[in-house]
Amino acid sequence: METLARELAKKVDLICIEYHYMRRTDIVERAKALAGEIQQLVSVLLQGNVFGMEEEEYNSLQSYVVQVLTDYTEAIAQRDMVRMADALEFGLRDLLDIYIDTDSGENQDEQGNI
Amino acid sequence: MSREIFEKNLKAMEKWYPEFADRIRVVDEKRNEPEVTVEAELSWDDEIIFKVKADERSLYLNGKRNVKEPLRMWMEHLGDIHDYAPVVLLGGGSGAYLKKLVQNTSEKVNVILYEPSLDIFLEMIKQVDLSEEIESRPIAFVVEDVNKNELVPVIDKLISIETMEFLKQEIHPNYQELYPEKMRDVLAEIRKRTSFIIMNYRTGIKFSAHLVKNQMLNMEYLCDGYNTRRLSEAVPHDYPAILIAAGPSLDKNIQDLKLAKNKAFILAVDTAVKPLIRAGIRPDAFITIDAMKLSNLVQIDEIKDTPVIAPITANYDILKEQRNKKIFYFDGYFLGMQAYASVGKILADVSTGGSVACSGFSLLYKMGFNTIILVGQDLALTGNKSHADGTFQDKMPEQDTSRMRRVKGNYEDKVPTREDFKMYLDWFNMYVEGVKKHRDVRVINATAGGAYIENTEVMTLKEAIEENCGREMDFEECIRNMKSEFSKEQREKVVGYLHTVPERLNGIAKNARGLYAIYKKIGNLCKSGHVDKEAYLNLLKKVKKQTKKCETVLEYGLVASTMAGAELVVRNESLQGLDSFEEEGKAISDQGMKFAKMMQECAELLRDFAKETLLKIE
Repeated sequence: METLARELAKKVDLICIEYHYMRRTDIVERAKALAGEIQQLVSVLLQGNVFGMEEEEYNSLQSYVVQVLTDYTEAIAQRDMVRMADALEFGLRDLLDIYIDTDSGENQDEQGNI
Repeated sequence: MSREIFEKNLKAMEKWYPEFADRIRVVDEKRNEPEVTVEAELSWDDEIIFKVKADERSLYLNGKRNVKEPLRMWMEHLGDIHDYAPVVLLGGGSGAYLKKLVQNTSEKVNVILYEPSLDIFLEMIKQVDLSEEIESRPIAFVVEDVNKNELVPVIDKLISIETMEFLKQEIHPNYQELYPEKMRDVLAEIRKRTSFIIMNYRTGIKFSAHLVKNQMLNMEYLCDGYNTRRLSEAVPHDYPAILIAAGPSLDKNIQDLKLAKNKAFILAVDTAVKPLIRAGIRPDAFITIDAMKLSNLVQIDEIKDTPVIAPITANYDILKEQRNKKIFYFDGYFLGMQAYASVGKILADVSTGGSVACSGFSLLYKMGFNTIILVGQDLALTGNKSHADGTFQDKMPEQDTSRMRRVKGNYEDKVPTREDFKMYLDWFNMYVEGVKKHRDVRVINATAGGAYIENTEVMTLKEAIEENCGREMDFEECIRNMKSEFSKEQREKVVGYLHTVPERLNGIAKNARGLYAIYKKIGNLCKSGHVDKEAYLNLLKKVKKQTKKCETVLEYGLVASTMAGAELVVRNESLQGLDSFEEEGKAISDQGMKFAKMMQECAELLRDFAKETLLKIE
């Protein structure tokens, strides 16, 4: 799952950077193409408390996941670039970080640089 | 609360443009059902955001979760914004982008905000306090249904040759989804403006020396006193006029023009002269405007006895070959106007739209004709050719038009056109609309192909002639009987004025030398390390005074037009920001000395040329 999350995070980052800095206007279409991967990762979060969180914390997470998915699907339905960028960058990206071990990521990068 | 913010924003606007603020109050009161629904929400990072519902779509204009970060990235993407840069924001949304821009740029940055939706604009100024930003500088608000007509004048004012390179145009997120056509239209207006500036600049550079040279050389003809106002008096207007341009379709109906001889006033553009003569048609007059027009386009003996109509800057090499009357009009250049003014007369003008045909059309309208028939006015590449055969080449070559822009055709759905032709087409659309509105002039487009000009009647030339050209009139004779504007005494006075021009130019050269000396003093002062601010400011005042002294001499216009290119370099440099007082002073001194030197040299060159040309006029 972590590998999948890392891959997806890279794609999301690229889409968002190109939307903000290169003014690409196909963010909705490009994000739509990620639907399968998003579903795969997010459904795990909705299936049960796999990370052993406190109940309240898990409930908030579930509600957060639902909000992100609602924005994602609504952005597709409305072809809303702004909503999509926001859902990906400041919604989905947080969810992906749950899977990603940030420390090991940094180490990997450092090794790569060496 | 919303009312309070609304009034606060309008109060801030009143500082710069009270009329606009009043109009907003009125439209707000009279507003009926809104066209779009604007819902304001609070983002997760506590910013007001808008959700717009239009045509069954519901779009956010800012992110629900995070407004600030995209704004930061946007600003970063914009990069350094130069002082005096025109920044056009297409769409205001909730005002967040406008606020960010104003807060992060110098007050000298010129912001234009175009809002295609009155509903969104009103919601913006009701929900978001922008008063500080509005008060800080005169932001040009252009709002659909309020003051859209101000868009072009604002663009024209703020985008100039000096500021064009710093221009930024930014479409608010999701506005291209909500208002694609309006966004396109505004971008097209900006493109039109920048193309116009580039074209004028290039023309200016290329033509500047010729413009001045022609003005002086043509003075000997101007003294004869023939002008377009006199022409208008000599030629009856209750006949139709035919304007013949040199578009490729002229080949198709050129022979039909014989039917109109002596039944309509036939005015040809210079490029159409050769094919017309070869087809056995002599126009009643032809018009030429370009300072560098290839003289071989009219090098044909049969045309030399035809009157020529021209601005004073037209190519002297063409005019000197003409044996008939040379009829002038005012084209914005100084010398002809001043020569007329020396005897209390006014040289009538003709509008310019970039091409000789535009000027020809304006001339016919101003002469008073109420039916104008256009021929060969393709403004497109009919048959993939740019001009009629026999103009630039006996057989004009076909061009690859596959990548060219397409516009509505007279007979075809779409026809390919060039950027310059499109500019002339835009001018015709604008001008014909005006002539219809002001005098209900009938404009018949008898071009056998080409682009459609709005508000014209499309018909064949034969039909147009049959319908409109019934009565006979010897227009050549009318022009032969045309009177001069000047009596003998008045002509002497005009010549007398022209004889003073070399000395006046000499005066400008002297003043320029004085200006150079002041700039040099500024440089020396700033090199000394401790700048005496009072002395520095005094010198700047002297610069202002001395520059005024140079520029208020009437003949300065002649000098300025020869400096077009070099002046731009100096002007652009002067817009570059510098950190310290000393550096600024040194830069002012360097640029000023260059400018003054250039002015002096140009004035001296012109003085010598004026001596050669103007003093020989008797």
